[in-house]
Amino acid sequence: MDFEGNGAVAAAVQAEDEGSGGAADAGGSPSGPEDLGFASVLEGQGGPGSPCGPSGSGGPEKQSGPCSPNGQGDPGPNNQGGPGVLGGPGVEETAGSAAVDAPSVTQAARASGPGGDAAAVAVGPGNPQTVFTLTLPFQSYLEAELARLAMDTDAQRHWQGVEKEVIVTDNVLAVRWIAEDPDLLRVSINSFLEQLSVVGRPISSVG
Amino acid sequence: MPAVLGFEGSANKIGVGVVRDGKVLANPRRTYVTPPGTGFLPGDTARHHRAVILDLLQEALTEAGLTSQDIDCIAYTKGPGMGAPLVSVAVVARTVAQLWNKPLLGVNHCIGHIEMGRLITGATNPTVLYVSGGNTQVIAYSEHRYRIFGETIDIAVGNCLDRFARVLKISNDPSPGYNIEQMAKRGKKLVELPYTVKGMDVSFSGILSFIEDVAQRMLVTGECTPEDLCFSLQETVFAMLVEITERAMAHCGSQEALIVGGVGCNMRLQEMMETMCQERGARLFATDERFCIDNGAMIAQAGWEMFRAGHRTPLSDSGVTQRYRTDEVEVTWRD
Repeated sequence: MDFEGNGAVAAAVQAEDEGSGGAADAGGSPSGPEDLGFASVLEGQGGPGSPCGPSGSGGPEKQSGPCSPNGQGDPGPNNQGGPGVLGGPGVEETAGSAAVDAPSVTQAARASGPGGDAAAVAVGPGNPQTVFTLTLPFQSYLEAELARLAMDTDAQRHWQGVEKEVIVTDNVLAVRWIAEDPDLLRVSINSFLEQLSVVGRPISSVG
Repeated sequence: MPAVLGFEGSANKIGVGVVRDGKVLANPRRTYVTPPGTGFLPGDTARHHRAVILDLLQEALTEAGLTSQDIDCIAYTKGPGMGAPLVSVAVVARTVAQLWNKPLLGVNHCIGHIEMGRLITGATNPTVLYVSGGNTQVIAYSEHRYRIFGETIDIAVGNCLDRFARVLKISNDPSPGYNIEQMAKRGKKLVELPYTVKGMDVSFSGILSFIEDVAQRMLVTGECTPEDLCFSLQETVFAMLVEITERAMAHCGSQEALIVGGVGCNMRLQEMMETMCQERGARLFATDERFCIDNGAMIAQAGWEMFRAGHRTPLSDSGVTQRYRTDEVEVTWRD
């Protein structure tokens, strides 16, 4: 899957059997992120390589820089500390944890791409859909929510055939796309990543 | 004394401006210029804007001598315009508004032009001729709305000029309209072109089709030069605009005319409008290229007026819209 953006992003793709009502691993309330199939992804965030630094305790004013690759939370060489910092998605650490044991789905074709897999899902007779999920860890819940509000407001009202869901859980912004047409899917994902490129840049140097 | 930061990027110009109490403190701008014979596409234009917007933001604050704490409100172009560029700028505006914890204001691009024109020229209640690459409207204020008295029924006059420039492979630097104007000054022969005024409205698609069709033939046979065609096109389309503006002024009993929008920089258009105004005993107002062409300060100025009148745009309503009529906005800041 070809996409632009800030570099590597964590992409976790789940194969879902839409016909059977959702990911087999998912549980919980119908109204929670489990319905989006994100639960099994987000549960993997606590282990090694998980987003570093205390979450939710600093907000945009937190001084620490982006996560170091070892997940220790040390300010890296690209420390972007200061007010109004968006630490940016610490994608390298989460690539591993974002891999998901997808529920068993027969007839789901898998194609590996950079940072994750894409899966075609059989929804009904002759009605395959592709599901692509992205998880982006930020320094804190506030920053993740800020990014969501900045990017999700211009809903894809005019893009027929692409369903996009965006949720924030702790410091992770999770996005899921579902589409039948892979070209529309690609355009939608590219657009999101392009917007992410201006939201995630070090704005702290401004003002 | 509120200070408002404005973001503009609805077409190929990206600008960030700062206005405080009627004073433009900063107004840097960049233009996305494409090779001769081509126009600007939404995706490429948005990419250009994303690449420069944060630097422009810093430049604006530095030029104004302000920090984020000195800004009271963030204004941005909500529409109308091209989708991808609008979204790119709106995303940054929302991000900045949240980071700096400032209220957000979505501004109508056309009203931005009008309010900047009123500020710079001091016109009190003019009939406005708004002419640009994306819009052509004759507007007058009445009962808290900028009412559209006449407009193009197809393409904007600037779009007609820009697309003609592509036919002749005229350079887009600094803008195709400017280069057409310079070539027109050297034109000697008036080629008869379709003149299409329909009541209060105008149409430019026919004249464009015609001139695209005959241009190559006439140039090859030597009937006219490219300069003659530029001259003829300007004379014809500008005469149409003068006619509908005069009609609106007569209807409103207006003694002031204000030209705004990128095409308003054209000195020949200003000259023709001046002649019409003088014949009516009216005054003509116009601005220079700093404020005629799309810029951030005009959004900041309209945002300043709206902010003082109590307008706010919640994040949930801060989406952009490609079709945003001038008369959709309730102008609560005027009597």
